Amino acid sequence: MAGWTELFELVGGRWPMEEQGTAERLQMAIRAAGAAVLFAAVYGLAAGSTDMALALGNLWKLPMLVVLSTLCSLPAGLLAWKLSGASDGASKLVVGVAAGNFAATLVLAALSPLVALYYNSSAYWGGPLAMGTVALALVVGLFSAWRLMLRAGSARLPFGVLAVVQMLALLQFTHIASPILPEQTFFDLGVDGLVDR
Amino acid sequence: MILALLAAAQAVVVADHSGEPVGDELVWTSIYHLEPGERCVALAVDTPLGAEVCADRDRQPLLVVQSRQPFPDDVIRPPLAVGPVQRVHVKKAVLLPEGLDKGTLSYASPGVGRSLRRQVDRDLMGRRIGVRGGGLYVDPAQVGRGGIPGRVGRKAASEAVTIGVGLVLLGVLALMWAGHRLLDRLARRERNARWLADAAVEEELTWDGIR
Repeated sequence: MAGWTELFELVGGRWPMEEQGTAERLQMAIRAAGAAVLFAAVYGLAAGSTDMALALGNLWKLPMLVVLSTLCSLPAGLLAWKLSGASDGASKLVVGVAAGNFAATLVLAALSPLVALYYNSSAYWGGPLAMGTVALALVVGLFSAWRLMLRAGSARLPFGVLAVVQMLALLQFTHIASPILPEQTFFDLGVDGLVDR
Repeated sequence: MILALLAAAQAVVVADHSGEPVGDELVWTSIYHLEPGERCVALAVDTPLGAEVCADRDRQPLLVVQSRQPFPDDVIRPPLAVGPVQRVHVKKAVLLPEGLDKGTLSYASPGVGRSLRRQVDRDLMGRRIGVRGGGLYVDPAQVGRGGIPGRVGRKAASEAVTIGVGLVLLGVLALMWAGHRLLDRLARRERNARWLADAAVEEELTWDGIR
């Protein structure tokens, strides 16, 4: 229970304890990542609820998007953290990223009943609502991570690098994992669908 | 001829064309909802079905036909009926049409706005035809007999890549679990050190008479 309290403190932009050690922080980051995996799977079920095969596939596709895009962004973020001369340990950066993912997937899970309802009752609005919730989750996740990193005394550089790299990775993992929504969206084609050569 | 086409244009209320690859062919399953009393549909695109398809029995409101085209292909050739705007979508494949307006969730023929797309979705859903919205919203009047220019192809990411990525995810989750277990002892040591430090400070303060 204490673990959940800590995670919700992070979502609120507060570090649970200033004197926390590296091991404790990393454990907290792993717990946040584990919760994000669960929440992402819940959203995947809702987004694919019109088609059983799609819903079951989304049980691992959405967690995959969250976990692997984060792993892709961490090395660049850690490098930027060191280059920017941040005074705190890099474990704070890892917690910041994990907390951002936790907050974003919490938004997705909280809105997943609405997404499922719209997909199963509206002819058109399920897709736009699903895309809208994802956009909102990204904004909330980025804001949470930014606020935590700022309070950890880090420069803006590591956050910017992390955000850009994670978004780029997310786009291509979406392409690999598609279809996620019942509709074909231009994100399904990855960067090729967004940028005409 | 023109009269026949106009008559045929009245035949279809709404239609949905769903494609799915089977081997090296794309199989289109098309569902036409017909006007009362109509049983034949004139096709706007050349397909193996010919120029017209008809329902077996009179006064049948639904007509379901299957058509095939090579897969992948440089043209999108669902059996569009002469008539209203129709929806075209595929499973396990990607449509990349040319000359259609690109939206976030769909492509549409020029002039086919959001309200018309929604009307098509509502008409289809009201008759329980097809899947959710999205895909292509095509005005057959703007399509030649050769089909919709563009490409229908496989997803660029193969099944093997998707499965590989899934396995990587499993590995990462296992590592996270193992990492959490390994960090347990270190975290306990950090907590104990903090408690000891706090207790020492507390004792100092007590001895100094501050507390």
